[in-house]
Amino acid sequence: MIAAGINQQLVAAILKAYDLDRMKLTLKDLSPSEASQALQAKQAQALLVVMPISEKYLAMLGESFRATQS
Amino acid sequence: MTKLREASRTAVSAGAGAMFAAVAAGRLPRWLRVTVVFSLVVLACAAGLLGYRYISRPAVLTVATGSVDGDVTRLMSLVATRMAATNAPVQLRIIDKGTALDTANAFAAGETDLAVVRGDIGDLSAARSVVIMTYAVVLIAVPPGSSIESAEGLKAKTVA
Repeated sequence: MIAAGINQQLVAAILKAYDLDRMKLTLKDLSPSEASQALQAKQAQALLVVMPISEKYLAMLGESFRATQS
Repeated sequence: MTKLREASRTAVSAGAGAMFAAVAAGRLPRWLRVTVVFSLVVLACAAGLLGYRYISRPAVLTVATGSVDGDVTRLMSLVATRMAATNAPVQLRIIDKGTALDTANAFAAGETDLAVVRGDIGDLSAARSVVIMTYAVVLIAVPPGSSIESAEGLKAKTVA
């Protein structure tokens, strides 16, 4: 996940709400550029981000997934 | 030193008093009375102008900002510049703290008057919202073609 320090409480709430603690989910604290590489290298299967729904940020997110396809 | 200061203060007061008494009694030559009255009017105008400027000066508030991409600082700087250009009664001084966490901590420590922060970071128990800049959402995104379609699909997976 991006910026784990900031998102700690949020992630804890999500894990509790979806009961993800029992699902052996692994969380990795990575920077945006590292996250893209981790997805590309199949070291991570999903990306957790907290961002405004704006064109700019959606484009940034799309960019990190486009890298996985190339 | 203190005695000298007291003596000079007394002398100035006595001089000013004697001048007022002389002007009031009409014992000074006409040209001198006109000069004294004109000087007093100029002094009163200057004092009034200074007082007006002091009262009408803008209140400057400090704003802590910080984000990974620096967008928040850039945006708030534009707002501050615009407020300064329009002589708004409230003006902003932006303090870039680098990250959202440091921003929240600086605000919680009372270092700034305002902060652009996420509501769930740091100790904001005494904070009040002034403006909601944007709504952020939590996204768990998966690459195209992924087999993960729900929260259950995250079982034994790694989330970056």
